[in-house]
Amino acid sequence: MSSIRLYTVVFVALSALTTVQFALESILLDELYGFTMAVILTISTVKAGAVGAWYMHLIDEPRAITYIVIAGALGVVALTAGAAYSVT
Amino acid sequence: MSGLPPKSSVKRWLVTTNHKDIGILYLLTSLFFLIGAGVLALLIRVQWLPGGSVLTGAEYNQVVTAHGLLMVFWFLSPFAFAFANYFVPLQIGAEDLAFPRLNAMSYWLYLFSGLAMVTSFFQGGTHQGGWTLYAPLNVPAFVPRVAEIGETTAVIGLALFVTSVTLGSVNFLTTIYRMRADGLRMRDVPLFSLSILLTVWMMLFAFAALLAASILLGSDHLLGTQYFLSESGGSLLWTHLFWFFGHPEVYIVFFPALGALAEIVQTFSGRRLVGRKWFIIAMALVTIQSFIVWMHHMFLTAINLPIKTVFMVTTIGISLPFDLMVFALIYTMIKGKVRWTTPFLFALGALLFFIIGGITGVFLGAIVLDYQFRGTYWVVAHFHYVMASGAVALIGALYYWYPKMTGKMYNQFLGKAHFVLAFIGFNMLYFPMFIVWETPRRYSDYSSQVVWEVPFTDFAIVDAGFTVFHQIATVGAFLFAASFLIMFYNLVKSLYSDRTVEESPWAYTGSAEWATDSPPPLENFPGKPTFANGRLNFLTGTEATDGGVEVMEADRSEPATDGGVASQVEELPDHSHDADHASWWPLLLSAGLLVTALGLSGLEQSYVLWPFVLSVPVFVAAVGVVGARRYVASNPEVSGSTTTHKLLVLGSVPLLAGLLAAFHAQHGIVDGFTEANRYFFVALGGLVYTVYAFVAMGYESFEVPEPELNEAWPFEGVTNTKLGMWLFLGSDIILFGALVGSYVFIRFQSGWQDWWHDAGLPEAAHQVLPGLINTYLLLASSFTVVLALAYARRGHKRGTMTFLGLTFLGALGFLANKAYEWNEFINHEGWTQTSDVMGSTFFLSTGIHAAHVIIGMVIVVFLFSRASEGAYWGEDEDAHTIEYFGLYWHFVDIVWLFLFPMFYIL
Ligand code: HEM
Ligand SMILES: [Cu+2]
Repeated sequence: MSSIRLYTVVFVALSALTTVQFALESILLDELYGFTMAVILTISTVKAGAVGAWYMHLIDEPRAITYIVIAGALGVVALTAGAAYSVT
Repeated sequence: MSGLPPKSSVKRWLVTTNHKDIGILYLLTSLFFLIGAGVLALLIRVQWLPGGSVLTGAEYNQVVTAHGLLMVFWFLSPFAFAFANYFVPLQIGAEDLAFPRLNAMSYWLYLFSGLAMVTSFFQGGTHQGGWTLYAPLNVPAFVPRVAEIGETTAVIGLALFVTSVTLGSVNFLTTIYRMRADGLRMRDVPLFSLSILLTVWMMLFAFAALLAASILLGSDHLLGTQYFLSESGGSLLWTHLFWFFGHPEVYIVFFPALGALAEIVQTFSGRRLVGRKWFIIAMALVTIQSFIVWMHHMFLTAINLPIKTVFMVTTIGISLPFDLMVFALIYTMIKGKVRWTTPFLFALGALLFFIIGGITGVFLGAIVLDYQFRGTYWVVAHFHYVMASGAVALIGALYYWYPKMTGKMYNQFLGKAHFVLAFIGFNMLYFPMFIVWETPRRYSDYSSQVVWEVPFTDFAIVDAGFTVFHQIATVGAFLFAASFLIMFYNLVKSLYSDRTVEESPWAYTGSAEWATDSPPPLENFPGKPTFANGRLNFLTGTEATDGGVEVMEADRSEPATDGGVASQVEELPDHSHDADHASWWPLLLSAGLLVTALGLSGLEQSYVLWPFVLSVPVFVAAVGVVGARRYVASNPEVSGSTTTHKLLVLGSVPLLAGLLAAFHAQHGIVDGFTEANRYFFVALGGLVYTVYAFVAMGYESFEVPEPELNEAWPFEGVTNTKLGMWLFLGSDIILFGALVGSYVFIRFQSGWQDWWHDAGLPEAAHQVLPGLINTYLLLASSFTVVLALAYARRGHKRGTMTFLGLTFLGALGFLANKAYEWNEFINHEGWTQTSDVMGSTFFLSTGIHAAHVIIGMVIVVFLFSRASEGAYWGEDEDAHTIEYFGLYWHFVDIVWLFLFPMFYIL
């Protein structure tokens, strides 16, 4: 039952990280907005990565599948960052 | 269903899922739209004759807009995909596309979306703002009430078209990556198929951005959100979203033409493309670069100078690989021995047009020049040279492949006459536009408003020079159009002639489609194609027949696979054809979507009824399935999901009849139906039928053998379905990314930290807690899905069902919590999606996500029901279903992982 243990560990970690995000909001966000925001978004990215890697089994699939995901993510970053920068 | 009726039967064309049939359907349909859009073009020219005012201003705008939309979306790309459908499987040695039923659905959605577009004309008028649909010009606040429904239909029709394109992209990508014949390496795939591969990559990502844009625009129309009305960058938002799609789109329409050009030039120069490897690398580069040049369409907007400069540089950068490709083509002609056939003439003409169009495009890419050129006929001339160059190249492709598709040869003299007339007409039509480039692009009456300043003097000539040139253009337009009459005559006449062709009418053809009969048989080849020893051979279980064409020679140094066709038939353990080729559901499902779309177009007043729109069809589908299964259970001699499917087929007829009857009876049954209510029932009926057809399609047993003995680099080790699923998710990343990105953009523009403060919502009402609870719930439901999968793998029925059930409950909890939260906002705080742009982004983003959760729940119900029948264990393909569903569900979870901080924490 090792896969089930792995899934459980991932679930616990995901929930813990969510709690950390919540805690950061209540403790730090008001004082250090930019920094805290960066940390919170990074945590979300890590969580998404964990879901992708273990629940969607990306680590077991051919690497090329991961590249599809990365390509899509890069597209989103290009669009959002480019658009936001264009109005600074 | 499996048997395919003969080609003379109408039914065949309604149920077929074979790629060659679908290619023919695409071809005929796209030519139909070409004629329609061409007539609109002639109307534009007639309007411009002296005193030739046949249209009002508003009508003129509609005609121009519809001409552009129809040509770009419903003619040019689908025309290219007629050939892609027909020839990609042939060129790579496959029997069909990876997902034949999906392919049929792409076609029907394409046809129906086009019909929706045409319908919009008759609903008080179609869209008027040009093919770029610049918002907020066209949101309800600025559109006369009568035209509102047609406007919306055009937008929804576009969204349907995007759906078709996305399904098609996933299909072609999976096919080209995973179904190449043994020994056919990626780099050896013929250039046309390679160009299609790169095209569908661009489509997969670019069209997702257009889908996001049209969802937002549709929502501004139907739900009263304020994305594009927003003063914080609403209009810029549209240009960003549209052109992030729009620039890749111009290569999407051109790349297939480029691939066809390369094939034609190779064949009729009798040699392999010079610098073939670099040609491919250049195409791949352009594919990537196409996503980072979009702001060259925005030089005259409020974006800052540094970013304009960056995009000027990337734009000049993207023209470089094109230079390489053009020189490769020219050099191939010089080094080879050219034969001046009809297809070659068209290819050469297209190349010439492309050179002119490309060079004038580089002018536009320079910021200072664009300050002058923007909004003038320079742009019109530029993009007609490049886009119509693509069309001309594809007409060349039609002449090139017509003998293969029909088995008949056409009259060469008439073909060349067509070319000469088209060439003259084309240049007469578009070249004068460069000369009188100062004509404003969007006027319906240019004559009195144009001033031609004589350089370096104080003189200004009013009108004069323009009229002459525009009259020349009008004559050119009619010549160009008339030249197509020759083509239609020639091709139709030849169909009934006795000039039959064998495998290949052309010498020096290199790719595999020429090594089989014309037209090819249902299973494409006389045996299983293989390139294992560098040349094409057929492996077969039956006797060896010589089905080959001549052997390629012509100075090819490598043992090429895009080249050398030898014919030799070897032994293979019997490969029987048990694939299915026919299904009604793609047609029926697409029809359901069309009806839904038409209903939605007039629904803007009655959105409070939407929960019914979503829940009733699910209910009906469930009743259908349960009824069918009861019946099967009480008749033990019949059994299994095949029978359930048969009963669902039977049920579809009375259901359809009932819906139609209800539509007609509407007026009589209930008094006081408002306009909006009527549309509501159309939408509801359409959706009921769509969901029903979707479920029934799930029950249909449709055999598509997984390919064996194939090249599948770099995707060995996954199934076709899994790859398809991931590709679909790849495009969904762009879709959701663009939705969230739009929120980020507007919030950034309006001042990030003041956002919630500016919302018409008490500060205290914006809380983290509801989001936090929902995050836990959704994570838990992801966890239970993987557990369900783990138990299914172990053959543990109870465990599987338990965890599927828990998943459903988790999702239900999520929705309940959301409903509570929304209720607070809407009914107690009075804060809705129409209140302000904060409300618009909040309700739409989380609402679309919630809709995905609901769709997921429907699938869970379906899985639960099949699991109770004992469906998901064992080794067959079926056992993977839970895994594929899991991919979707986890993706929905991941989206929420970002919505949570974006909307609840920050
Ligand atoms: C090296 C090649 C190219 C360059 C540098 C280039 C550059 C540009 C630029 C800068 C514009 C914006 C002009 C303006 O609105 O002020 C433009 C417009 C346009 N280009 Fe190109 N282009 C190139 C090739 C193509 C190709 C291959 C196509 C299509 C097959 C194409 C289709 C279009 C279209 C449709 C527009 C007009 C969009 C509108 O309606 O505003 N271009 N081009
Ligand atoms: Cu562009």
